[in-house]
Amino acid sequence: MKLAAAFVLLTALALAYAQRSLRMENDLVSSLKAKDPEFGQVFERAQSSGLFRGRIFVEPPAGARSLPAELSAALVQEGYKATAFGAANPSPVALLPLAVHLPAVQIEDALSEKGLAARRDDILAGMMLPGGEALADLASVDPLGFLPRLADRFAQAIPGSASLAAPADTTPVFVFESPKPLDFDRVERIHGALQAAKVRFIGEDFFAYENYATIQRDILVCALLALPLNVFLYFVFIRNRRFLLFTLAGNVVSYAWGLFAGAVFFPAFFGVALAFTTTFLSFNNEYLVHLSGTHEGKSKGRFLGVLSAIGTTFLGFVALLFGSSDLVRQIAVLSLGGMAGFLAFLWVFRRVMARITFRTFRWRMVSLGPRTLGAATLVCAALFVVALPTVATHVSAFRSFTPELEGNIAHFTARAQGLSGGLPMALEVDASENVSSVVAAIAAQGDVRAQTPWAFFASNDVQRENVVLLQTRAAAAVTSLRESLVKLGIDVPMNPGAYGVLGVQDLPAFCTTLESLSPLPVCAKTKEGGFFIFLTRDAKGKASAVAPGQALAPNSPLISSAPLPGGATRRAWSLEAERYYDSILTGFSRELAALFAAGLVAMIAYLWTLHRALGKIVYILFPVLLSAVAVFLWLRATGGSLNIIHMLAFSLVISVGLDYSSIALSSRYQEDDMSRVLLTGLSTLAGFGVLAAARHPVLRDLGMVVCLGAGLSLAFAVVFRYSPASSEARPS
Amino acid sequence: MTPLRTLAMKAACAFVSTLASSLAQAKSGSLDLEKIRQHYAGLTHLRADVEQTRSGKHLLKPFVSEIKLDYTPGSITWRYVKPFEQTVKISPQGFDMGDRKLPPGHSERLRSLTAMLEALFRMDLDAMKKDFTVKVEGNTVHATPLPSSPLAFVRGMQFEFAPSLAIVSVVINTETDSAVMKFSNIRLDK
Repeated sequence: MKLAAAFVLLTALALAYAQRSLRMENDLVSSLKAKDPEFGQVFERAQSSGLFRGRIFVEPPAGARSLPAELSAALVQEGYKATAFGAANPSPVALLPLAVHLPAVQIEDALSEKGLAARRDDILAGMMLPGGEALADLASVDPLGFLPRLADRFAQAIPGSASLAAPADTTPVFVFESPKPLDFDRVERIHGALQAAKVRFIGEDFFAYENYATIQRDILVCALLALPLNVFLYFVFIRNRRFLLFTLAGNVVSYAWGLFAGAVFFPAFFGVALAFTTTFLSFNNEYLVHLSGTHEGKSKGRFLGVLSAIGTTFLGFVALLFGSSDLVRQIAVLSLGGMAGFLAFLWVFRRVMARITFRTFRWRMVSLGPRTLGAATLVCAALFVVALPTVATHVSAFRSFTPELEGNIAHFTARAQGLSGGLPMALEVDASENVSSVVAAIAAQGDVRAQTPWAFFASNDVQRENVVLLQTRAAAAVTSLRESLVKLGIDVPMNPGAYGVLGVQDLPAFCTTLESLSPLPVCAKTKEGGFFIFLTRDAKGKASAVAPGQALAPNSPLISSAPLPGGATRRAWSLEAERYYDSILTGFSRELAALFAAGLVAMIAYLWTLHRALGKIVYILFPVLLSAVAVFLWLRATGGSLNIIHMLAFSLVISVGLDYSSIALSSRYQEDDMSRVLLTGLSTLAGFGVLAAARHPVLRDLGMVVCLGAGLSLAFAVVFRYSPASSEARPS
Repeated sequence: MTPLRTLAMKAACAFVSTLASSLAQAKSGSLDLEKIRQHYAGLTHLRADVEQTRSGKHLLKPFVSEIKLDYTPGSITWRYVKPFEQTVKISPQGFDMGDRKLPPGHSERLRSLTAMLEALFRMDLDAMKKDFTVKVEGNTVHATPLPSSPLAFVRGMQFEFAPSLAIVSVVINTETDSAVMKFSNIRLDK
């Protein structure tokens, strides 16, 4: 009694701790990090974390130039602060140092008598326009008129310099800084206000909120569906209905310890991981059903079956702990915590558990001899190899947005691509290189767009020549220009020394200048002291079809048109967000596949220690192989790829599916035990089957694969009995 | 902001003001909005001679110039004929001053102006009112930019209309200068 009271108290404390510490992770996708930290840093920089992160973007209906007043007020009330998209338009002072990169002939022209006369006429025509006085200030800074040429070359070629807030179609986009920390209730309110105002909107807040809303709905729906289904099964299978309360209490304890374990190891949870806890009911039912019979001490074999059932489930979750994906690890920790809590509950209340009895069912089974089993296994193994689909995970599998937000993403993506001019990429250059030559060589191959500020970087020789020209002749030219304007009645103060201070720019200085002009980052430093310059590829050009050996895949080096000085391989990385996240997730998938294999080996070793017979182990494992083949064929038929969710689901299929054949075999197919297998199998199908009703693709995929695998495993275990003495399948 | 951008923007402002005057007579007084709307509805070509007197901080004396204005939907040509010859073309695609071309994508004010020009081409009064408050006194329309407007650098504009609804003069005062434009030889094609 004291033990029970202490356990209940501890559970209450664990639940209180979990409730206090439980935090939701905002966005599963944005939390993904590349394995190569340098690549991750370059990507994060290119993604202009300072510009897009922590902000929302709102576009009024077509033709409108402002947001509805009620919406603006609502945004302010909820703490959203209006802000500019990025840096202001390039100032003359920031642009002028780039004059040394102009072709020498243009500087010669500007300094010539003809050039000075043309400049005088330009200033005159401009200053005669209404409001033309503003030209005087600019003529003071740049008397010789290099700025328009520089703006053409550099400012307008910088990706994103024509900001989202100022598109060509004249409909502006309003940018707001999101209040911190993320408050889902607040985002829900503003989400509703934006929808009511019929404006387009996008931002991390809405990605996180819509995922959260979907998962919240899924948890509720799945829990509401799973509970009555399991209750029904218990009414059918358990003679004493009062034990329903026992299993419900055990599941509450299991949730408490699962959440406690998660809260101890993770600062915040992904919603999908929490939604996964709705499947605890199935696992727990399995432990309860099988362990409730062990006190009877019927046979050693039966106890071995229970051990193998719980052991394989345990090993399945332990294998997931070694994954790199936070989502997978969170699911593993939650599940192990839940498992530990429920097993502890059963042990504390073992006397109550001992009084549970089950209704027994009887049906005819088909004997399966070693030859038939071996042949079937070989056929399945061959199909496994032949039907193995591509291993790839797409980021879209992790997102669940409303059609409205999907439409907004497409809309804003199109606008952003219009600004940046194509698909972003990073190209490594050495600080000593002439970057324009490197870009020109690659652009000639069609790999990148030539319209980039990097193409206008002048070699050191050209820059030196320009500096000499400006230092020796600019002052006199400016004085002459001013005097000619005074004669026309215009007196603009002009600094004759404006160009004398300009000097040769090396690559770092050039990068710094461009960064001051652009609202988006234009480069990143490498560990070796070089630079990654950001370029764009043409989405419709030949560069989009990446040739072998020139893969622009994230984290893959590109053998570009020229090696780096010293012969090193020049790195070129695609910076497309989807490809970036896809590559990380696909890496996780492959890693999980390896863990899956390792877990399988561990389970085989574990089963060997229990059964010590190859035929028996093949019989136990066959349903998993069959399930894998079924999933592979389904993916082949639907054109899908094997993703990280399927891998995770396979681990669960191993955890639950192996138990049926293992217990059936160990208990020698006794009616009582087979009834228990049937109950646990149906309970699992109910638990994961309800996930088919989920809206979130992760939960839906997970439910579908586990249902398929568990269903096949259950069918195999309740239909076929392994008969080592029999060489043919025959009715038993 | 580059010099030409500012320059072209302000040129556009002047023209906007001219056309805006036709649309801004929404209140009372002798000007009637609906008549103005009808007067300019279906406009395909507007030509006028403009005499402009400019003064400003850096002008040593008031500067008088003669301009040929030529407007068709989608294009405005502002051509100086005296005391020098120079042409500025303004269109939704940007500003063209001889060998200088400025697309509107790089200046917010420029974009606002081109958007407003578009509204004007369509005689869209509602779009005009997004940037200006309008007050009518007699045969003159006073337009003051809203504080939130990108045209707020304009202190104020006055448009004088003839009883025939033809524009007579436009006065524009900005932060640094002023311009008085007198219109003559106005020809309207529909």
